[in-house]
Amino acid sequence: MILSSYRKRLEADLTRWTGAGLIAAEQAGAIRRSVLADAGGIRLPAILGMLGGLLLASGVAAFVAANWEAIPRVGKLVAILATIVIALGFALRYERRGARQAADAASTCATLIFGAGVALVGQMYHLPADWPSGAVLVGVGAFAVAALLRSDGALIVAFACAAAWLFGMFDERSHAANWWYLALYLPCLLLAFGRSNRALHHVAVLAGMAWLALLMGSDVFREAEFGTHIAYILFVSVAFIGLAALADEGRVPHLFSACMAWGLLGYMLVIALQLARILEPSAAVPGHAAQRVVISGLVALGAVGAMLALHSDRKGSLALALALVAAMATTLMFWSGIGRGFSGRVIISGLVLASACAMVVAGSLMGQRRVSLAGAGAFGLAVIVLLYRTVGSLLDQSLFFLIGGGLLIGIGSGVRKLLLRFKPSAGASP
Amino acid sequence: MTGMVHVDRLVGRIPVVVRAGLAALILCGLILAMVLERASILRNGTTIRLATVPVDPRDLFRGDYVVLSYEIGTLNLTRLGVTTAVERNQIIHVGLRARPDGKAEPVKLAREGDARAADLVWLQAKSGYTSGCTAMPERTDGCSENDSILRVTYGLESYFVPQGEGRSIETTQASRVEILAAVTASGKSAIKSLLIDGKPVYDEPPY
Repeated sequence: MILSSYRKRLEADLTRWTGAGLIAAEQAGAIRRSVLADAGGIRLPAILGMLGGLLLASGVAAFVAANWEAIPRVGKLVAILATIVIALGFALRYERRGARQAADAASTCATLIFGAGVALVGQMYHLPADWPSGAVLVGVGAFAVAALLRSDGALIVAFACAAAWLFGMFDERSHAANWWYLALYLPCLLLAFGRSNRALHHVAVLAGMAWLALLMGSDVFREAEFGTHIAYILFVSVAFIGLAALADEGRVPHLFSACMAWGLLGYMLVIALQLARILEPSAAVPGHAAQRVVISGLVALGAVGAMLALHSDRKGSLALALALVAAMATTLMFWSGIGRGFSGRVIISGLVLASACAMVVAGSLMGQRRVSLAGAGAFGLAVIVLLYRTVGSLLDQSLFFLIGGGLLIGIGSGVRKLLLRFKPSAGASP
Repeated sequence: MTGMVHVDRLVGRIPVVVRAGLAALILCGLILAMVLERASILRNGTTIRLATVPVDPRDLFRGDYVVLSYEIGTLNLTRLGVTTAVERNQIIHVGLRARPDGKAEPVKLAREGDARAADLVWLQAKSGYTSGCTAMPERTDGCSENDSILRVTYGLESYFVPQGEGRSIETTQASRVEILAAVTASGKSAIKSLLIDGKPVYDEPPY
């Protein structure tokens, strides 16, 4: 799937390159044709088909519900099963015609009817309102359809059901870590590795995040202070960014590139929180590391190390690694107890700003606008936090910004000179 | 990750007709399994009579249904001779015996692995919170202050009625409403009939 923003950018570049004489008009035309072929034509019929399928499933469910009492029990059952078979029949028909998206829509429709069917049978037999069990049952069925009929929609339903079951069981399992979740999540993830649907990739990542997030609420974290949760989110975010950078390089399944957006979001918010925390005396406590937080930190370091070792863009990956390690170092500063003193505040504030700047540089070097944006966002948030919570006194704050600003201008000037020195001359062959 | 074997590629080797047939079999099979399990309980289970206290909420997804609260939904652990704490969300079995008026009363509690007397009907339940008697103003059996009371659920707490009829059951005096439930040897249960003044108002056929 080609993003419209990419097409617009490409069109602007092609016009510019043709105008500058870098490429011939025929070559620009060939590139345009190639991109359009990749886009797979107009997606409107598929979108309408998918929405139609959803409406159809809702309509059938509403009709059956309205006449439920008038239908004998066996009739109800036959109606549910027949509707599922008919929807799958349509999926088969479209698949044979090569209409993949229509087949996917029909398979998704069958899955949703199955879900409605489970709820209606539950009602028929007065089953208790045990919706987590219903969710896992629908999830298993959706996974089967997703695997057998290569349906992205059914796989999204399977992920959503698995996550619903996870949340439903959270209280029942007395907040203990739910390892059984992985029994449904991992097969779904394995299936999703082979799919190119970006929405599916994001749903897969979100379902994984749901499990990671609930680990925070489990017994391991119950007695932990606020900083433990912040450290955990930061480490998971760092691991996500490292993993996504490797996915962009084709070193790990492409699905993990969807981790980038969520990792950057977590990074941006958490380092701003770290800063707010260090500047609040009551929150600037050393805290302690729960075992699972230490493990997540080691995983994050591993992901950063793997990115450094395997990424083809050495400079970009180094800048990104520096940004991530600086962010992680703020947690170590807390744990060491340094954060309570004035020097600790300055060091952590400096680390946060340095991390944000390195992130902007990494995004620029790697040509990843979202990385630069996250860095800029983190920098902006940090400045807001610093302004809101004075470093020491107003005079200290002024001094901090003066030194920080001077340092940044100096680094920027140095980097510019360095880039100019290494810039290939206009006449040099590529 | 070009070298990775995609599941889709492996599954794609099976003809699409077979795959679609398998998908239909799995989806329909899961629903049929649900139905057969419930029908089997209704056909083969031992029937017990339970006194209820109904309340009626409304669930937008599932039409009208009555939430039934049972007398046996709160167990006096002290009177049952249970001395060790029962944790929340545990599967337990409650041994029931019929009172002279025909309604079931709890006489034993068994946890996983405990022996269960053959002369009792054992109903599977899930444990809830444990509290003292003072937290249970609805209990009229005169439990003493130091008694330990456990709330349990049996999976019989929802009863779906035709739309608009839930309210009439709710307004019926609690002592007039009873439930006939079928219980299998393993303790699984299903509602067979809803009775008002001893007369069946709703019956549940297996199919």
